[in-house]
Amino acid sequence: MNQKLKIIVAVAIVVVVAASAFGVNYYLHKGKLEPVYNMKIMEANGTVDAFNLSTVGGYAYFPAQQNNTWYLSHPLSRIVTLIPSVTATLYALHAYNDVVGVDQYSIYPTPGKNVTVFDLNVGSLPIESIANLTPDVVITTAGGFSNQQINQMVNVLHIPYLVLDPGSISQIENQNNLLGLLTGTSSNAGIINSWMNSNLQNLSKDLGNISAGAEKSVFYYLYPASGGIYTVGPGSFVNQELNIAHLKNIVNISGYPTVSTSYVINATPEYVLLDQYVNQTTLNQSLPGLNAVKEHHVVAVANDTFFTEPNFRIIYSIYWLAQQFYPSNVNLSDVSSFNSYTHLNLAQNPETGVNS
Amino acid sequence: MVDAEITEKGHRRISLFFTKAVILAAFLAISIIYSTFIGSVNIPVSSITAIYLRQLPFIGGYAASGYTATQYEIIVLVREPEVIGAVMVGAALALGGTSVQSVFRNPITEPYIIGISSGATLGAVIALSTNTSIFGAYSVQILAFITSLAVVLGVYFLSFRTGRVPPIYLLLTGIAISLFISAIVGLILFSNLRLQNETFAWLLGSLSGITWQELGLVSLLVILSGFILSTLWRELDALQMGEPHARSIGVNVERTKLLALIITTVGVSAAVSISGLIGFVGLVIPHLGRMLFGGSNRKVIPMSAILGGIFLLLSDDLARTMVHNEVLPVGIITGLIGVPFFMYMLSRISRGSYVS
Amino acid sequence: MSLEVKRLEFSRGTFSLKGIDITVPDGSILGIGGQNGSGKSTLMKLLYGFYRPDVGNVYHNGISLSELHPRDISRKIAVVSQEISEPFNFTALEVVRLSGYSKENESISPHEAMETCGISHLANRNFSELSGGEKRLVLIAAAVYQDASTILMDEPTAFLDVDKEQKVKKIIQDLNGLGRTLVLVLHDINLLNSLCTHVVLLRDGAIIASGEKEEVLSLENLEKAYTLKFRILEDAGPYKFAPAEI
Repeated sequence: MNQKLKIIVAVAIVVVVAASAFGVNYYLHKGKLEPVYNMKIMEANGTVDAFNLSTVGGYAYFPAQQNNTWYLSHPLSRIVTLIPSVTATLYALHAYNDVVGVDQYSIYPTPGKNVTVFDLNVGSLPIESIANLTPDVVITTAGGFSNQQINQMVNVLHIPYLVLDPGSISQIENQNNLLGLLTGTSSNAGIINSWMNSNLQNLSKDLGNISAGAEKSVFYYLYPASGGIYTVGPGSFVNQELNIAHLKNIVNISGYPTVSTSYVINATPEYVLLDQYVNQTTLNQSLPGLNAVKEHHVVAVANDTFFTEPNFRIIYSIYWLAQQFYPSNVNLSDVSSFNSYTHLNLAQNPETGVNS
Repeated sequence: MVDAEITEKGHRRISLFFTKAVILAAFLAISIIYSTFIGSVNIPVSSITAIYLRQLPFIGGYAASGYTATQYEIIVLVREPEVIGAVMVGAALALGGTSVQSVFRNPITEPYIIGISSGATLGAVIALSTNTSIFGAYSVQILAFITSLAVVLGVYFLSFRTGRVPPIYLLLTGIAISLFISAIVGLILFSNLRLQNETFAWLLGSLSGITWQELGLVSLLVILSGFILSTLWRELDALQMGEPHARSIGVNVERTKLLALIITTVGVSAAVSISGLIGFVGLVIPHLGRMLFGGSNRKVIPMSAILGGIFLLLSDDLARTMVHNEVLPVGIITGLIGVPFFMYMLSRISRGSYVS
Repeated sequence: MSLEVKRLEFSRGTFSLKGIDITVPDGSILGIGGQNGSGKSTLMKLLYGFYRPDVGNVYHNGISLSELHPRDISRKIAVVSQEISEPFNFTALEVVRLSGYSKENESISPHEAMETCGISHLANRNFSELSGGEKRLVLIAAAVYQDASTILMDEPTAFLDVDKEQKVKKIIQDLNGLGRTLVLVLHDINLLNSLCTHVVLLRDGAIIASGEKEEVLSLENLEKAYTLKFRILEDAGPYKFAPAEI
């Protein structure tokens, strides 16, 4: 026992010495990697505004010398965007010329010759290639990349790292505003938001006669996961899309939960919304006893980027949903032309999945 | 007469050893330089040479230009730390494998088996899931290091039996505790998709994102542990003959085991904290060292370190350049190369030509 | 008295040694005999401090082993274990050289030690690839190289060919002739008789008899130690004892 004690002491010393060595290193270099939620925006005329990144569901990592501030005397002109929703938004804002690099899923619009496309692995950023583009910012969504790489990007290469992850329509509109501000295209952001709002108002009128009791209940089958089915729940913008289309999501676990098949069967959805990447056979196998499946009450999503990418295009997916379930009330062609607002041709039809 | 013959043979052996050692060291140096010349971004050889000259002390200021600031950043801040990091991590894992295999007298053990890997993963997952920044930008790495040490010590204490730590007990306790901690990690990760992504990268092991800051401290710990282990070569040799024999020739068995394990754990944990779990280096490289340099740890310890450095460096080169604009986790490469080698080794073991 | 065991007790699991008192006279060859499981090998591990006794002590020249550093013990006591782990890729010479770990002066070289045991030709062979008998001789050479005044051997002749057995016996007698004290664990009664000057008989962890060979190796004591009746063969050279019923 005495010997044990000696060893414990020796070991404690080693741990303490090692931990303090790291601590000393930390204080010597004052390396920080803390997400910033309250950033500042300094306009060209010198006024400083506060911007709370929680309003877009995001945060940022700033290099130390940037002092948590964007200086708009130099709007972003070299952007690496690693989320398709932001790429599409920048396109709609007429700021796509400022994009120098995108991820492989950013296929709307089709990347030009001078845009580098990165094949992203889970957790791995192509730092060298990104650094080679000398970007003003790397925009991505939460999670997925290792802290170590983010640290190198921000603290060593001094590239700001902006995370955008809007979880509702109002946050999507804030995202439009923020990106508009940072790229000097605020007026276009205003136009996109008013297009979104007017369409949402029209839809609300069209569906006004559907009472709460008459709403159809659905289950969104995203894809099979270990131990159940990956789906959407309250608190996600996809759930909000369902609500606006007067559909009742049977899942009441927030976020993007994995639910068991018995959970789904027990909740007896009238319809199953089947994602693009799940086929009918998988559905039949995983939920054979479900009434909606037996009665073929299955609506297949042809292009889920309209549904699962948080940007202005979800207006189309909401209209499309409403058309699928309440065809006498709504038609997809009711969406006002995006072109007349922004002079961009945009395919309206999420059913075909064509991006033009 | 007989003695003279043996001595002559001995001399020939020693000079052969030095030849091999010098060749290996030269190969390592060439690999290091070669590795900084390749990457996903194409930088002209003349620019890289100019950057090298620029980095030389005293005369660096007079060096010609001929490179851009971005190229300088990519070479000095991205490639060089990654290359040196690969050598350090590879060396640490090989050193750890050599010492652990000697302590356990078991050719198919590796340093991870005593709980280093599961402990480090636990620390990383805790840091990621709580988003802590108690140690600044390096919270994940430092927590991984500390929990890894703590878990190994826990395994050591649980294996304590009447004043001794029987190796087989230590081995089984290490495996059991590792499984237990993996279950805890699984519990934390369960239903947290984002965390799963980040941890996945950690589990596969990656050398991308290493900075000079962390590398300084890790190199210090790795070199120090390598130095101390190499002074323990006689004791580790003796342990291979079994504890009763080691004790009978005067080795303080328990002290040696504790010292070797602590030193190994410090070195390997430091390496793992910046690289994640890179497999097979610690298992395979020591055997390669023994095949090339005979069984005695006097040669095997330093030579395994060099071999490990070379192996991981070349694996990382493959990982960085195999797919354009994409960085594969290096753990995948070491596994792809390591497993066939391991199978080959197993067949040699079963034929009894190496260890019966 | 080079090695003394006083009132030693030791237990491990269900097995225990109790009331062990042994004196090993300088320059003697002491054999420890008894059935399998009587505690011979455990006792040997106690004799060089690998195990620590629960009660009592083992003394070397009056100093308790528990007060000595393993390094100091190994300068006084060398050991030839029966079970040995296979080291990775060691040559026989490296195995012998390893036993110089605690040596202060090079009174004898590894090559000389190997020559003493007649195995110079094995020096650069891979230890793992040697036969059982060759390995035993390498380990004995290692003990010779260790150059301690007392040498413990656990079953030095077990599983050996007749010629190797004779070789080992010869080495033991030569070492004894050079003034070394030897403690041998032997299960073979005739070896105890032919090789040793002193004998300790164990049974179930307790001493049946100990002292000079002639006193201890009586039919009566042997029957107690082995639960078997023995008879004495006349004029059979070293093979003096045989089971009574054959």
